[in-house]
Amino acid sequence: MNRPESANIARLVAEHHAWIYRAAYRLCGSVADAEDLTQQTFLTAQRALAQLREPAAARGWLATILRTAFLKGIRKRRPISAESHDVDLQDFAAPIVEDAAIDGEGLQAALAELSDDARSILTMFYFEELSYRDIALQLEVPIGTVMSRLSRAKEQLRRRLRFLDETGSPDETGSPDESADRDKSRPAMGGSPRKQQRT
Amino acid sequence: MNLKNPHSNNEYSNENPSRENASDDDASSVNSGRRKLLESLESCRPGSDDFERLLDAETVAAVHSDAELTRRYGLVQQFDTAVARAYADVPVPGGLENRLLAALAADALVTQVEKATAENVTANVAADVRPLEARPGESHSVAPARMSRRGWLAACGAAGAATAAGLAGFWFLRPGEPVEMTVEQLLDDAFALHNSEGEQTPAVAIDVRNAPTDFPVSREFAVNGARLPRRNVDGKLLGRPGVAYELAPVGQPRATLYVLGDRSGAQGVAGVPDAASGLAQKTTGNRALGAWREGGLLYVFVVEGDEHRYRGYFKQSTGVYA
Repeated sequence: MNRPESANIARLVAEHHAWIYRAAYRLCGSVADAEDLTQQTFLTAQRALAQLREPAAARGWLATILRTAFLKGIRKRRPISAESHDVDLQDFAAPIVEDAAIDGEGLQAALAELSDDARSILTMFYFEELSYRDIALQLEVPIGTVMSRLSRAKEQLRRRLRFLDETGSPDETGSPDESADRDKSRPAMGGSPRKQQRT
Repeated sequence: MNLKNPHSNNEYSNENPSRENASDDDASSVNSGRRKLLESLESCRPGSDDFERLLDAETVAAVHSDAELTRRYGLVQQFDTAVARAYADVPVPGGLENRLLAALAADALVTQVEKATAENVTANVAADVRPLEARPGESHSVAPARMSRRGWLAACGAAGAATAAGLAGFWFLRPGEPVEMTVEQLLDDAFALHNSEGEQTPAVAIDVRNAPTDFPVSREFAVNGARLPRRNVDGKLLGRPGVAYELAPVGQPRATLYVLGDRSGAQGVAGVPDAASGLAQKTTGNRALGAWREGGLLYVFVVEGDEHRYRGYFKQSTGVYA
């Protein structure tokens, strides 16, 4: 056994497992899937530990592994939702409700209705706290594409969270009820981590 | 930059009669410009200086000169701040770190065994395979070589040795204390101790609010203000110093919290979670049991009854909040 590698991976687990798990949960929406994804992330990290030359960059490196594992795994199971490709200018300008509250469970329920790509970019923005330029570098896409995807994903999230002033939106094609109907064929996701807590 | 709000009933609206005669190209240009501006605003991280640092001067000026855009930017930031806060609101399952370390150790072991086996198989196959003499005009086809019995024995021996080395290496390299006992064994010992003790064990009632600080009641329990019987259990569990609190009122099934001190001269325990969980780790003999570390101490909780009764003693009865 290679001692330095083992020692390092143990330290990575100790320092980052909670953060990685939280990101995984936001991507997967279930406790079991998030734990599996977290484990997959660290297993991959262990085998590729030699690639990590700068310990300070460990979190970003692990996050990249996590995202890759998530997208690779999810795309094996189902096709990409066409919803993520819907573009409607109205979405970008719908009025936003002031002082709306958001809790962790409500957020997860809303995220579960979004496409995998949307969840991924929102996680990079909100949880990994990457700038749109860093997101563009990570995804290897133009900055304008990132801004467009991010804006669209945030607007979809706002709509799911009822964070929009629906009365002010003339186009209700993306209303939550209709979205729910449209998404009925999708695999069930979500669920409260507090209700699914494992021993 | 002249950007219009298609949703408001003012001069910015796309539905505004004043713009009905505008050419399609103009409308398209306005929409495109407005979209880009809104996308720029949406791309600024909450609480950051992205707005000033990353956006171009024209965009910043356009927002500052437009009250509606300024207001919208404020709302976007408000929304983003709330979402970012909610994003991190995910409880981490108890024992996750230990499960990850175990999976990593197993994976490292498999990798090592595979490598050792492959090396031995290669070496033995090379020794066993006799070179074939090609007949004139006949080409060799490379068929998989059948491994000799000696080769299999060597491979199995290597695998066994690698397994032992891997397990030893894993436990040796695990962070924290050397392992001499598992959490399951600890809970078995706690069960036995709990069985052997009775309600009549001498104890002193103490006010939890003014309790001695050496072995405090876990902060995970909602027992503020209660007077609890506390007794000495030095050396009775793991050979460590410690105390036991009875959390259930007299006459009710017992709920005993053992608080154990540092491990100097005592056994270490592997697999103990770093935080309390409302979920029992073991149920046996009408008892639900769990253990965790907290504030440099080891806590073991034993409840007469089922997991539901165990869970009821915790403030957060649904899991660990790391």
